[in-house]
Amino acid sequence: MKCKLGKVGFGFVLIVGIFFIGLLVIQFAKKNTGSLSLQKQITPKHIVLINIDSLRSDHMGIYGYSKNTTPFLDSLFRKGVVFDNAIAPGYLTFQTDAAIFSGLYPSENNVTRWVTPIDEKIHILPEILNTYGFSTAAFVSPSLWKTFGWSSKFQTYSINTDLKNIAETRGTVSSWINGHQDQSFLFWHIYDVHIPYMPANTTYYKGKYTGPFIDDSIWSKSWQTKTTLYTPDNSTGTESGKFIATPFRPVDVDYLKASYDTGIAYVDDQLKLFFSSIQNNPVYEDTLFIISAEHGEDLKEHGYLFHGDIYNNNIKVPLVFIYPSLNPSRIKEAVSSLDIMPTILSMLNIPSPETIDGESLMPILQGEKGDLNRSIFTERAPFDEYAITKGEWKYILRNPDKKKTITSKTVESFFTQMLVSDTNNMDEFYNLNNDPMEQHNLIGKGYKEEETLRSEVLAFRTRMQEARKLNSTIQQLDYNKLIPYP
Amino acid sequence: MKKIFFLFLLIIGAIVIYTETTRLKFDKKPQNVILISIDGLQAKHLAEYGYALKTTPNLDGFLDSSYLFMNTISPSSWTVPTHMSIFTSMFPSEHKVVNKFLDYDPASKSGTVANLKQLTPSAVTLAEIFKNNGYVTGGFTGDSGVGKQFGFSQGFDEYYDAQAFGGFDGSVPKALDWLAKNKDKKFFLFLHGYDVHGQYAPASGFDYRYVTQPYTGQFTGSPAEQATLREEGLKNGKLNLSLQDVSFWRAIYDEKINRMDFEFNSFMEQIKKMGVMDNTAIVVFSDHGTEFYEHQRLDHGHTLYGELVDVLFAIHLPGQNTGKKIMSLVSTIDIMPTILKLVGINNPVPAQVKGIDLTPSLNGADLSRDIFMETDYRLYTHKRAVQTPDGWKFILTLENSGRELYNLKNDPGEQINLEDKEPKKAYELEQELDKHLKDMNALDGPWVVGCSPVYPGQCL
Repeated sequence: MKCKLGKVGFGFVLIVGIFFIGLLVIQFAKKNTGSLSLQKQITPKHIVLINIDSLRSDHMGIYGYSKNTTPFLDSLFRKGVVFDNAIAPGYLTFQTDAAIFSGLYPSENNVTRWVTPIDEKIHILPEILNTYGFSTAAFVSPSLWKTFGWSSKFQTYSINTDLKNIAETRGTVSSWINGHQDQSFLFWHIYDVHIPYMPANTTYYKGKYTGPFIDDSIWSKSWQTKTTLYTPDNSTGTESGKFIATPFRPVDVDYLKASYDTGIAYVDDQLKLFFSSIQNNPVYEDTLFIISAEHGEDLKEHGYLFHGDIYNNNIKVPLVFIYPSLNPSRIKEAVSSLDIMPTILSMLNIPSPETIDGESLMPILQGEKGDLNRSIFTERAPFDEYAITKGEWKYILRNPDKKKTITSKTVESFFTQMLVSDTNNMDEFYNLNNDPMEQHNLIGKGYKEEETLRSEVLAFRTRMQEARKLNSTIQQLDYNKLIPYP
Repeated sequence: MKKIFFLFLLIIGAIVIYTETTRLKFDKKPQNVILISIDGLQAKHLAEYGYALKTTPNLDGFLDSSYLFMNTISPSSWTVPTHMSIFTSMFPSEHKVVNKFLDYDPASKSGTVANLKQLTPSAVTLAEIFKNNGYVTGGFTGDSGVGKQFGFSQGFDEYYDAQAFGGFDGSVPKALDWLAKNKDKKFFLFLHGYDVHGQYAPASGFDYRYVTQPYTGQFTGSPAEQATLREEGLKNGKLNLSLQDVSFWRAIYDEKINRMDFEFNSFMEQIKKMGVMDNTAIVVFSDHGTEFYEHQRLDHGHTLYGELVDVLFAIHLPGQNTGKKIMSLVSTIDIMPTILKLVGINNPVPAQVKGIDLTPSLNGADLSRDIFMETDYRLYTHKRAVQTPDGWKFILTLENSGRELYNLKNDPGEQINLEDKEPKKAYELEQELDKHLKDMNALDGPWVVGCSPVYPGQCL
């Protein structure tokens, strides 16, 4: 190595060698680490999805309610990523649950009405998680019957004997959670906010109420219009088939709202007890909690009570993801309950079905900006009516061909009457920033967004109609045998 | 200095070894291409692919001195969509010539014929590319599934399709006439025959040369019987044939294959005499196989099982006199880019071509990858499938979301559906298949079961 050429030659070989070794290292690194992102590992071992049926987000403190109905949930939500604009894809419990499990809209997964089971050929969330080694369980109220078809995909599907018994169920649920140390997924459906409401307590209603709604069994026999409640006339001691008309008074509406809030506060208390019963178990540290609702509630903002339409009080739901390595934040971007499934799967590095409509919220959960103008759709099945929420704008596409689809006179409950509803079939267009309660219809006032949203929702309707056509061979509906709403 | 010198030698040696192994063994780059399609030939019925009988001595000799692809999958399981996929290197969902008719009215017995130019105007065919590069192009076929009306003649100066379900006895003389006039030009010749297909029967009738045991069943091997069995299988979901019936039908098939071998040989002899072997690459393939009761039916198009999609594929280069078996898992959708590479024509439509250039495999590179297939045969069924190099096959039936998973290593006959036993593998392959369909904008239905006739008299 004494001559100059020797040193040069050696140096050359060394450089070439280092170059090739470097290439090899990069190749190897690429294969083994995939993305070179330094984001935290988010792969929960346990997932708990809690749907609080009928809980509208604007009756929770965390979402700005003036009354302190949810002190515990508020503090819990503050630990997670809170979605301020989560929209349900349907307006009834089983519709949204089926959509959450399948990542598909009601028309696509077939769960549009009470009698239609989910398309059994679709891969739904519990089934996929079973395949990937998760234990799966659901604890639900009787309103989520096995007839909907998804129950068999859960390893455990436990239906409460009573509609509402959170005080008891929370014990069963916490035992299950604490007892499953390996990968697990639990779905808990809480019915205690749903009608029939609890009697209003003095926090929410001052004075003594003596009106018709003091009898909480009234709901299964009555029906409503925007102004009047019709209750069965049993003055002769037997069922006469006649109805007594009771006009709604302000005091009645106040009492109902107070009852509704009482139920919310009660569930908040119960969940506080539930969470304290699990937080000392090591499982808790590696559990992703997702808390939401299948739909909200109408409290006469549009003349009706309960939930039968696709206004925001009905479809805007609470949504939070709580997991230690997710930084607490509030997300303005509108999202859909359909996004829950792909988000869970993406967190677990499980491929989502290519056919689903939902999108993974992982980027947003990890701090990236989402699309403030994302179009979120909601179906009002079976009425062939649809809503699109896009940024601050909302368009509701009504159905000029709508006929009364429920013709049976034997099922005249408040609910079926409301489902048929007497809207004047004019489309509706709202600015949600100025008019969050959707009181001022801006149709025809010349906003350019009206046309944009209208054409998007029309395209969505076409897509849903095509989907229903495909499913129509498996639907065997008999409206006369409609299962009454509990 | 000595050290540097040896290092230098080492480097030169490495460069020499690299270039030797990457360039093709045979010096002469082909100028012309003859592409031969033996319609309906199941790979497993050839001795070169392991068949017990030597029904094709001439073809075997040819294949023995060719690059023989042992694991070739067809993009579809019947003539029309497969040939169009080969001519364009596009999947059927992309070129859209997936059935003979786009719509069909049984009452008036008429419909809109599927045509490539109308369905996918931007598609460029292999023949067109040759034409645009100064070649003369001729196609000589047995009509029916490769008739002009579907767009198969696009890019051909001459395209013979005068006889329905014609064999090589019809197409070969026309091809030779044309070749005699054009052998001194740059030429691309497509030769096709239905000799082993169900509708074909030798003019002189069968002599049952492969019926070794006395056959006491009802069949004579006629095209009419085969058609009846085909339809019965579709209508009832399966047939009820005895073992001797199945043997008999295979013997008929073998006879057709043997007779085809004779035709193949006369063609090869003639082109050797014309002196084109020196600068012509010959690519031989089959578009699909034929089921002989492997899944209780006869014929093809109705499933995506191996008996229908495992096909013959071989490349013979100028001057080549030794053979090589290529084990990579490939598809006949790769034929177009491979041919273009061999003759040195730049692919003008890289975005269109979904197949890959297989020339590196001729030098030993393993180009195995997941292979996709599809069929919408007569709207009787809509099936999609993916096969992986490690031997998994997943088949999706779209009209009823039917799912099948087979482990081809343990169950090459695809008899044991493992969808329930291996749910994770099934799910993952399904999502891969769905993604492939989604990328082609072919994921959404409607997947109706209807009728798009292929043979006369259907859809009554």
